[in-house]
Amino acid sequence: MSASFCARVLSDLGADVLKLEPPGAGDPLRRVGPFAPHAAYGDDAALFAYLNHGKHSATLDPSYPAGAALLKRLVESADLLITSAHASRLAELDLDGNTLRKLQPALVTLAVTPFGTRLADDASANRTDADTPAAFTDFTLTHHAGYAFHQARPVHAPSEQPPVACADREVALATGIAATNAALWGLLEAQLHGEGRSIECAELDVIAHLLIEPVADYGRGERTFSRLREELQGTEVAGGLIWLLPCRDGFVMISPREEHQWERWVELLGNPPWSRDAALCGERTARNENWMTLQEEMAKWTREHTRADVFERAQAARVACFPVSGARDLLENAQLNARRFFDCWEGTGDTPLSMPGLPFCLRTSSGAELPRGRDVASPRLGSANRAVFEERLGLSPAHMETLRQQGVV
Amino acid sequence: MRKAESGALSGLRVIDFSWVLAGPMTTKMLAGMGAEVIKIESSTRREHTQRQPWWAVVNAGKKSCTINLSRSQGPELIRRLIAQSDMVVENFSNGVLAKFGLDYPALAAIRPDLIFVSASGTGREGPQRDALAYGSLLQAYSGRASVVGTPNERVEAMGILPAWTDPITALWECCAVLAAIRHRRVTGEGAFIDLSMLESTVALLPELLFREALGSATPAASGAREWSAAPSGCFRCEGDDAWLAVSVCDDGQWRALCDAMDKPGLATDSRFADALARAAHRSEADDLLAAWLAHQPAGQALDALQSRGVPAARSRHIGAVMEDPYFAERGLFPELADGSRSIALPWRDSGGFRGDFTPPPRLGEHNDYVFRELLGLDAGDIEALTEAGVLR
Repeated sequence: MSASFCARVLSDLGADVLKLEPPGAGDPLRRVGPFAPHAAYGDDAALFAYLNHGKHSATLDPSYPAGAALLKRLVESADLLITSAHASRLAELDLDGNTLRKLQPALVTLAVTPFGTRLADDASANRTDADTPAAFTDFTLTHHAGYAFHQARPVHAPSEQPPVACADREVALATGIAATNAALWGLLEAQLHGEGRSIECAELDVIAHLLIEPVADYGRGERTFSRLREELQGTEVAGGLIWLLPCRDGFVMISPREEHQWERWVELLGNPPWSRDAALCGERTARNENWMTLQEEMAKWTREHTRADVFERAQAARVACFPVSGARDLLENAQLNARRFFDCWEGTGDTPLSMPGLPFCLRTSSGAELPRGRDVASPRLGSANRAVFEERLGLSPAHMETLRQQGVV
Repeated sequence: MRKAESGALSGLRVIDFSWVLAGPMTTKMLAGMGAEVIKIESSTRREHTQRQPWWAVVNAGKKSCTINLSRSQGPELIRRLIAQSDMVVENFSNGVLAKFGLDYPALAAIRPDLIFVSASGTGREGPQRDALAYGSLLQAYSGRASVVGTPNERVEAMGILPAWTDPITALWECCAVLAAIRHRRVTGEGAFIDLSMLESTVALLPELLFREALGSATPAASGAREWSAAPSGCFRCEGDDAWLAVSVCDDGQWRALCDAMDKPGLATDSRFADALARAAHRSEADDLLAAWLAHQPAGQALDALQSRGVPAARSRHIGAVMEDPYFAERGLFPELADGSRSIALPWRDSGGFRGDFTPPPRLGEHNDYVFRELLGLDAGDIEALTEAGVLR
């Protein structure tokens, strides 16, 4: 999933991406739901579409000598080879970076894997691989990487509040973006030096590298990491001077952290009597310490309003405030839609499905822009076989048929 | 950590106005790849003087100079600096740089091939372009908080801390920058990048949106469990705050779990016969596993599950992670020359390179370099500008 997302982002940025899938059933993600009910079988998996739109698909099994030979021919005209296999597996197939660079010296190879491999120098330290789990999922990996523990720290009842992992496909997709960076770095290096290199981007490393505040705490000498929230720690430990306030239809989160913001916020609440109690909320430290009391007081007002109302009025008063969104809210979000953030996945029947696009607009100094709000489609399995193998590599139809019967394509 | 022969971004100069997390983390990555990053700071701004504990982690590898933009000569110095720079990174509120005559159109007139990265909470265009935003709030607005945890008034265990939106934005931002650099090297063109932190976060939650739009009965994976596995969750073990995350994804793993629990009868129990049956009896499967783990030391249970191929992991804190030989060998958390801890690039090449990082700069540490060497000011100029409150 990570490698696929990496390649898709590169495709979004203008790369010509050829996805090589196993002959027969193709990428297993083609069979993972949710599915679009009116799309063609095999092209109906939404997640597969998200990870692969914009690419060409060809089928090839490089574990056959004939398959490996075809891959080597394709690599001759490629800048980058992305795999989800460890370098050791590629070496077994004689498809490792050093071998391939004899054919294409500027080739960058990128392995996107759950765990990193050991360097030759590391291996000489006489260690085993026992510290990397043999069986894992993205969920368990997030706990192993430390992210889940710190995402539930602090809590008021640690014995009843377990650590929480990342959600949705965040782990795989975050790794995919990191891998895109790695790929672009490798390509820039190759552009500069004329030589490609082998790079690896491991999911475990990516998730652990996001632990900025905990790394800082460790760096300052903290060694015991209790998850218990002390009563006097206030709301700052929850991510700043923030409150989650109930509304008629859900919650808003606010952060009137500066003095002037606080003044405008209580003005919006009608300057209630409690807001003039200096001991309660005169200064930021008092607001932090008395956050639960303030929570109750402020909630009296917010409960009378909708999320949208509180959001709009607070922002109009220059107070940082947003609704807590659910999935439907996001699909209908005015800002996301106005910026044409969502692509439209075609081929799903009468109602195209919204898919997140790139989170940035890029306009060159000559006025060219990366497109947004595109119509996108899943690549059909093997739809580029003829163009790739017959037209580009010059294989005859008879040869292709032989390879097909052998299971190579 | 091994050194690169010559960084991919060597020779590129970045003028960095960004603060807090996302922008600084982006420019730190650029510095690690060889760019010269000059932070524009000012002792007149609290953001630059009250450094948070994590400041050093995200500002390694940079230079710092102090310029007070609110003095008229301040923006003029910046414009002179831009004339010999390649990139600007900023995350000011909308309109701030324009007020100083330092927005993209003004700077592109000086340096047409400039790459200008403008990151903001909700983007520089659209009806909410002026919304005042912080990363913590965007984690709620993006939908992440609702799917990682359950919204609660204590704001606990719902994906607000550690910062997620900021470092994820940094990965996207760096990606956009590298693409723009590659484009510039090929075409000579500059670029303007308008990056939204909200969009950066939502882009990683596709299944949440698809399942809603397609009316799927199965939710996307939450912070508590994977819905594609049963049992799945984070379970309490014997000992102080000891937790084990377990996800059983297929029949073989279920049989292996039954073996580890020494409950062979469950392997043939029709309620758990296959993935569909286990999903239908999810809470019973979870309860059985929870009851077993409650009386197991976490390490022992982990060994029993891992040796049988059942996905499982202890929920570890940062100390256990940083002291894990895997990370120590891989150099992900380097100790810099000043003794500070940093975080290297999240990838590495076959030679072990994952970024070169010098210690983070002191406020204004590189004023001499910037004002004398780059801008050619002499002692008299510097004294006059200092007295006028410009260089602070």
